[in-house]
Amino acid sequence: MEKLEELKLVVSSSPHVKSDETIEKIMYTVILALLPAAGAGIYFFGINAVTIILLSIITAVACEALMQKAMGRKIAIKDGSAVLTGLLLAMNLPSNAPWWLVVIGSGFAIIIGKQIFGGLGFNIFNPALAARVFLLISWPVQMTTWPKPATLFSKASVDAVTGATPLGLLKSELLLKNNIGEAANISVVDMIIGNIGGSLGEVSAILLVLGGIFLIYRGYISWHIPASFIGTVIIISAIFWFIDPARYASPLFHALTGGLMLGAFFMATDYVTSPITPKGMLIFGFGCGFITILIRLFGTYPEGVSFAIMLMNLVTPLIDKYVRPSLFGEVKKVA
Amino acid sequence: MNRWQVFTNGILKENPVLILVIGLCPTLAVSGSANDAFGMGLAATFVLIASNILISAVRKWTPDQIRIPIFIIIISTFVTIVDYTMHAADPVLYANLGVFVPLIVVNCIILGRAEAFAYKNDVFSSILDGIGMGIGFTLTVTTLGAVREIIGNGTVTLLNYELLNLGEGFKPALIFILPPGAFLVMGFLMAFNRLLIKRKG
Amino acid sequence: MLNIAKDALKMGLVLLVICVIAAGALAYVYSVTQVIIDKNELEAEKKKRQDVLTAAVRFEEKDVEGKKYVTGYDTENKIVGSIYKTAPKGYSGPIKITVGVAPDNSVTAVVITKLDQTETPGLGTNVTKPKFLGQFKGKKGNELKLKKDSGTIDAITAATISSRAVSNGIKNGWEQYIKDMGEKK
Repeated sequence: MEKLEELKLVVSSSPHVKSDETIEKIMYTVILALLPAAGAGIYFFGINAVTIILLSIITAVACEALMQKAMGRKIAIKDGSAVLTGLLLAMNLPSNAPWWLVVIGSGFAIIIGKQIFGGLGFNIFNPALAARVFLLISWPVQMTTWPKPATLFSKASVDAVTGATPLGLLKSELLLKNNIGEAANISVVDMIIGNIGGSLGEVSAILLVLGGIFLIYRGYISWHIPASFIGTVIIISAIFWFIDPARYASPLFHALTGGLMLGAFFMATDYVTSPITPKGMLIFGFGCGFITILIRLFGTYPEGVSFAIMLMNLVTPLIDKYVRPSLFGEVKKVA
Repeated sequence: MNRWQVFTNGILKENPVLILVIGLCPTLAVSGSANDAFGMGLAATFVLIASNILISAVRKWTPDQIRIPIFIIIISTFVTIVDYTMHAADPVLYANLGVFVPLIVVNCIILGRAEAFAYKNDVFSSILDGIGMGIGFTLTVTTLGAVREIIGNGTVTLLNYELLNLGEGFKPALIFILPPGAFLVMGFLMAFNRLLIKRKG
Repeated sequence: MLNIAKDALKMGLVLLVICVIAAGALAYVYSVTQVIIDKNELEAEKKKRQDVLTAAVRFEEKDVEGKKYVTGYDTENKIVGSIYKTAPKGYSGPIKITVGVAPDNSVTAVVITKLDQTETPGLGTNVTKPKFLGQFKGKKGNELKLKKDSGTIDAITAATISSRAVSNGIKNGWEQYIKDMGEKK
């Protein structure tokens, strides 16, 4: 406990978090930064996306209030952290997820992922991610049936057409034909604006990057984790792409598809579950990127962002322990 | 400590899995269904009682320096008997438990009770201790198995009878019959056990 | 000096006695149970043969090209089909498959018992269910592959690796069978 308090002190004294910032302000700014990408999800996947986002947020807030009451804590749903968790989880779900999946996932995020560990500041995993992984392992069928994007106003029935995500397509083509096959034909423009299959909030790479840059500009997150995370994915995938472009997709493909942008800017940067020093953040981001690309290239799952961030969440205390900021005047030991 | 306490200790207050937190390997590995878990519980209980009796009976003649090898010989003999018998009586259960049947030899609960209890107490107390600890272990793994099976597969089977089937409409949460589910459910059982002890004062 | 020797002797004797008793007990239990275990295995094997060739009343083992096949005959001593076995690598270890083939070379039935595999409970173990195995009935050649691999078999959702292992195993075994038996007909 003492250790944690100590570490938290360091958080509040970091240069980029100004003293007049409250949890509330941080949370609502992050939510604001997510909204454009969520909007893109609604545009591409229609009314279902709205229902899922609302349902997820309402469940998260209700569970937060219930648990805080049951465990005798102060009810603090106004701080926006439950809203953010609900929104993040919704953005990590396929747009045709059944209602019970959303409710169970959102409840799991708050109850098991957060409150059981002691509430905000004590959770070891990012709650939304823990819930996503829980859902993915529990209901692989529902979690990997992706509707094809059909814009809000075109009446092409949203439920009927399902297809693989670019990464899913990549994996199955590789299994069948031993090359990247049709995955090479997906247009880069579609990947940038988000006209591809995937979770409802992860598809629009450009809006996620804009949201992330806004947060960096405002000083709410630092550039270290997103840069080293995305950088690692790009560099490693580029190496394999140069070796054998017939079997490995381009670094651009890996950067723009799946949950990389959403994960790197909005989930890996969670204050509670990521390291506090710039050096620690760079190591954290590198680890996330390395595990992600390892799973994508050699694993059985097509996508690995959420597993990677969760695994790195686990080693965050270790990173913090070994990459402590040195005190002023302290002599560095010769390594 | 009177005899009744010796007997009940293993079920609640000194539950081997939930309080002493030993014997976790089989507990987590074979509790994917109530039937397998119950089979593992019975097998371990048999070995526990039988080895407790024998170790307690020969404790006066056992030279202190070589007691551990003697414990191991006695325990592994009973484990091998269980192994053969289960293979003959219930091949499906035997296949499901797999390597975890011979691994009962190194189950901490059994060697732990031999060293901590049977070696120091009379035969009758050792039987009670074995039964109590055995029930505690069996009850815990079976509960764990049943909960995991209901949520993760929508059924409960015990002694090869299907007691409950939630049907095709139920969408089971697969994570519960996979390894992570064992840890999740076990955490809740631990909390529940502590709650019970607290209520009893 | 004498004391140490005496202690050592005592320890040796105690260990010896315990080991002898343990060995004796085990030998007895083994002799009783082994009979039952062998009988169970034989019966399970018979049941599998009967399940894949329901019309057969008599079975005959044959060695073709060094591989074991079983041929089933009906009451009029007519051949109702043959059985081949295959054990492809599944998600976690080999899956032992028993396949029956009719004289027209189509598959009559496929049996995988719970004991024949060690797949993930609740997912891969579904390959033992009739809902999956029933699909192979009456099919031959490339039809025995998964739909995803341009065949006709529906994979079990979320257990593609196990499903593919089984279907490819059956197909490869089938081709081998045709190669071995084809020339004789």
